[in-house]
Amino acid sequence: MGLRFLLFVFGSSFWLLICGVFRLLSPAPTRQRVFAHAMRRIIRLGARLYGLRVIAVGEAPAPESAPLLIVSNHRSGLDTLVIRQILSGRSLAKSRVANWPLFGALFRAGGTVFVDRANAGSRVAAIRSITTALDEGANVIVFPEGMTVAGDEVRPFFRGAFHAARGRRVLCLGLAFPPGTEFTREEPMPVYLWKLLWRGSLPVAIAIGEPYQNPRDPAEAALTARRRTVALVARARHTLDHHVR
Amino acid sequence: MSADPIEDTILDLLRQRVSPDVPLSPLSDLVADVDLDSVALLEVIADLEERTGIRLGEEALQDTVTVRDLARLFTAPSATQ
Repeated sequence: MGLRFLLFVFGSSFWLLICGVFRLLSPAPTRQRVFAHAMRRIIRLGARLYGLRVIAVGEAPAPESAPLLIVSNHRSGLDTLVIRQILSGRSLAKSRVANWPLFGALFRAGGTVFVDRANAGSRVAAIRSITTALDEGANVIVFPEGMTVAGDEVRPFFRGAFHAARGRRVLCLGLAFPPGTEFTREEPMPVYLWKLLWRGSLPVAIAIGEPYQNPRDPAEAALTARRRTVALVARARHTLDHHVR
Repeated sequence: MSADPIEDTILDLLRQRVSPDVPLSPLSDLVADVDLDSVALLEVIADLEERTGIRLGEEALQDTVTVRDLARLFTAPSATQ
């Protein structure tokens, strides 16, 4: 584990340094290409760090399908890392993540939209940022349960992201983690992520749905997405059980 | 009633969206006290933007917690896009 940890720290630091140099010296289009490349490399390093083995069922849409609102159940601080192994997109994360050492810089470089759910203005700004990102042609990854949940329960979805994605297409995902590896808020997220490092390997199943047109009414859109996600979570669980048996 | 017409407008817009039992004042926290979801908050802000002709930037919105915070954004020129 020590070697993988060092590889991640030095590898990520290298790519962040590259991003920093290009941020200062290069025009926006070049900068964006370098940031995207750096993020892909860092995501690969992150997967190797955790021994992540993503078992996908269903077909990931081609990059030309963007922009999509990518919706998933929320199980862990690694959910975005799992999804980004097979799909590109900007993520929505809690605002405190922006200040985490190293990870905060990584998320900022990747165009993450930060939100403080206790702050009214931050919530509205996040909805507008999602709309802007989709208008710019980027996929946006959201976890509309608003919190992580252990097991396969899918809590009711908040409707904000669906309002932001009016007129856009939605792709639902279902994630299944091995029991006991989900984040249950019994300890701070950095402690949870640190402990997870010592597992050595982490198989995670992801079931990919079909893109569909987001219903106009955000409440109806949230219900539709949740119903689809529930079915995909069951499919992901079945797949994971089959692979780790 | 408050001394600020923008605060009064916000309070009126909120009263249309919450139960009459919810006490509202300029110091009400829009999430903890008023308990509006993000879409309802967005509708309130969009309504205010239309009335005032001021479009709020995403940065300016970040630290908006109370009714009074929101009212200030519509009188502070730096808040606009």
